[in-house]
Amino acid sequence: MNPRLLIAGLLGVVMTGYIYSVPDARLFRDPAMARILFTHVPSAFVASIFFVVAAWAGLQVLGKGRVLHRARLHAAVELGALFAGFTMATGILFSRVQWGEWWHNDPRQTSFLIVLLSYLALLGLRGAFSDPEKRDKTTAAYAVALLLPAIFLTFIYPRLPHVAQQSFHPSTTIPKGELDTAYQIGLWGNVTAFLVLAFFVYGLRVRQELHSRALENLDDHLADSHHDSPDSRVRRPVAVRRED
Amino acid sequence: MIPPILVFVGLWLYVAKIDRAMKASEDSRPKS
Repeated sequence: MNPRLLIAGLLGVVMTGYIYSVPDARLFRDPAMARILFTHVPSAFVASIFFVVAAWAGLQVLGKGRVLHRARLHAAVELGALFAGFTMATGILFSRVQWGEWWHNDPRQTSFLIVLLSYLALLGLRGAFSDPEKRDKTTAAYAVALLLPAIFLTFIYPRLPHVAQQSFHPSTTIPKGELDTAYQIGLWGNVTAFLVLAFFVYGLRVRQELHSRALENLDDHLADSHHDSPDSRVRRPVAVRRED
Repeated sequence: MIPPILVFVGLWLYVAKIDRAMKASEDSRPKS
């Protein structure tokens, strides 16, 4: 078994047991719902890391354009969008329970929705190209261009004083260390487990992309070599009439 | 309990998609 999957599995089991043993948080409409923190925050953390990885791989693709960087770019964009989707889904669930509405028009919800939609748009755009070279270069340029807006909308905009005043979403609890110790342990344990699991899946996706591209190249190479070789002319199985 | 299940199912589906893509490229591998 892959060691990263084993570690992620063990961490997952331990952390799942742990988070259901921590005491319920007070000041919540449904005190047990505070545990959503252990899924919501690690998802956002992992998504942000993949956005950075995608931009970094994008720069490499725009520069050297090696096949490994191309595979990393596609894997990082997909996983970033996937974990951003988890973040949004858990946030909407929390909004329903705590704030009473599925969509609360909270500035933080809205700004993160823009980030999520931007990466989903990138996936849509990528699918529109049939030429692999154009697909890679466009994805790379978009991923690089999107990093700064994503950072601004995720980390800076929600913390601007006039925006933070309107938002119900807590922004200072974790940076100021206002979480109980039990919740701190649960949170960072889950961040670790999510990171290990996410990078395990990332490794799988990169390997699959490399494998597919290697086979495509082999296909092209075989087609070219058949085309170039004088011995590989099409021979039709025609019957030769014997002239006696 | 819903959020961890959501993450688990999401990742499971994504890994299944990777697995299908891997098998599809294996199947289309040139035989010669």
